[in-house]
Amino acid sequence: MAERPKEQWGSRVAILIAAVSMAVGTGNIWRFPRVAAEWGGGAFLIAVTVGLVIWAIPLLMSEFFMGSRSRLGNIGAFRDFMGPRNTWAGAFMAFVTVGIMFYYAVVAGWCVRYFVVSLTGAIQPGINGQAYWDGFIGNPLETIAFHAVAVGFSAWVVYRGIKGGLERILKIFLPALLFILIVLAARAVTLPGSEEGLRYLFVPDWASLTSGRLWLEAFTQVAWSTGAGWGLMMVYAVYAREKEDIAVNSCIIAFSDVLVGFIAAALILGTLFAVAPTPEYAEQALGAGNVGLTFIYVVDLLATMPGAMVIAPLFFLSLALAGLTSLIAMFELGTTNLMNFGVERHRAAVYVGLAAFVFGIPSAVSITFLDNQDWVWGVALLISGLLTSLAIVKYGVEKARAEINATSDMVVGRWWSVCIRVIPLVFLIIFSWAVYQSVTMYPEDWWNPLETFSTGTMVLQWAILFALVFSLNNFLARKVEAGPMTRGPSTPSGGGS
Amino acid sequence: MDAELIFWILFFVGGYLLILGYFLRIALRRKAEEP
Repeated sequence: MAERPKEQWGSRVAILIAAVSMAVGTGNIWRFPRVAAEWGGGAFLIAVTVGLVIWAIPLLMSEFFMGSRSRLGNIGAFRDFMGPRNTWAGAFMAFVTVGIMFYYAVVAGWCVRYFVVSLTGAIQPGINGQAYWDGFIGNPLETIAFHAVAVGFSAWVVYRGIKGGLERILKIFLPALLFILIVLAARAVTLPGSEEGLRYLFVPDWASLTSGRLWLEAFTQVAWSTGAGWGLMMVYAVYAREKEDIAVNSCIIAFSDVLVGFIAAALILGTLFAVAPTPEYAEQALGAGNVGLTFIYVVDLLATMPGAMVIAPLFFLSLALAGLTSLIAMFELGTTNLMNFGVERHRAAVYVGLAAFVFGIPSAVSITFLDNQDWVWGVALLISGLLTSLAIVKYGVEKARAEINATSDMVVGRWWSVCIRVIPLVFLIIFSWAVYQSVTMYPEDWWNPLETFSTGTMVLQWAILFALVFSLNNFLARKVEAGPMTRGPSTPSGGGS
Repeated sequence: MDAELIFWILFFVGGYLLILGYFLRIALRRKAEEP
């Protein structure tokens, strides 16, 4: 039986809210709609659903299992599941997500800033979205200031602990986020002309299902959107109550995340096609990337809408809430892992906050650097997912499945075991495709580590990280506190609170 | 909004809501049984 940790989520609802908040991020709002519209609408949604079953749900269950059994963050969990010689795998996972945290805090800061300025009525007819964005992103003092706001808030929440901080805040933020998205989506679908956008989203282009690219895009979206393989579910599960239902909870989290994506996509695509002067303009907006769509085209369109004084702040508030709730999870990951080395929570939260602020500054100052980090660590998340499946294989897939079933109200069948064993193959396909993309993007200098999206930059930065975690393996294995898997349930837990 | 679009919206949104509802029902049943 797993030992009760000092901190704990107060209820099943609390951990579900936390986990769904972790999963629902800015990508649900600005990436999912674009990709769904581009890759065959309903056909893409079918492929996403398959990806949920094959990749996301098995990995979420695995992470939940590892966190709740080890009662340790990623580093300790991998040590206990794969043996001390493979502690580096947990460190790799933790560093990748922390690397994402550095620039994600900058992005959350953008969302907060746009919420604030929309409250002042800045988004009104006559605004030039591109110029407004360029003015902001070209002002490092402003980007750093809002980066500091996002960092400070997240660090404060984590400082206050699981119940006093995360649970209290997320129980407000997630319902507020869902309410806003539903209201805005309902408004969007009633606008004349919105049907074209909804058609892009929901009506399947069946021919797309035969396109390998569609499946790769769908699996990639699922991997990044649900948080599966990030290590965040693993950390939240450290504080799960005993006998928490792993299987049903994981399914709720995964399907909720995609459903929120549907709502956000209805909002974005419905509004875009209703308000855009021409369908071509709407398609142009969808091709403009996450930043272009959200901070330029949507700003321009929102400014022309009746009720912009209300709709614009609501939209950017939803983005800010989505960004902050995911950022809080990343901060908790850093904090929990530090606590496992004997650092008490308050001090750990401050260290994580300081690190996030300092190491996020380059991304705040240079969007090219941010894009590079998003690319390098985004693809590295696939490796983290692979490592999670390997940890379960090492532990024993059927042994893990039996233990998951012991506390689940739903019987997890052999499909889960098959999926865990298939994940390495899925990883190989998606990973190879990502590398292929970067090679074809830079056919002359794909090896150049200074190019933003090159293979060279990924390989170099990963090599540095691998060298670091391999060299620290024995140190980490020794220094991470013992958990119930190594200590046994009868000994009180040590470490920070 | 034509019939085809309405069908697919109901299919996907309704389908996901049904699936979620199924899992939430299981979760609520366990909660009711908890002391």
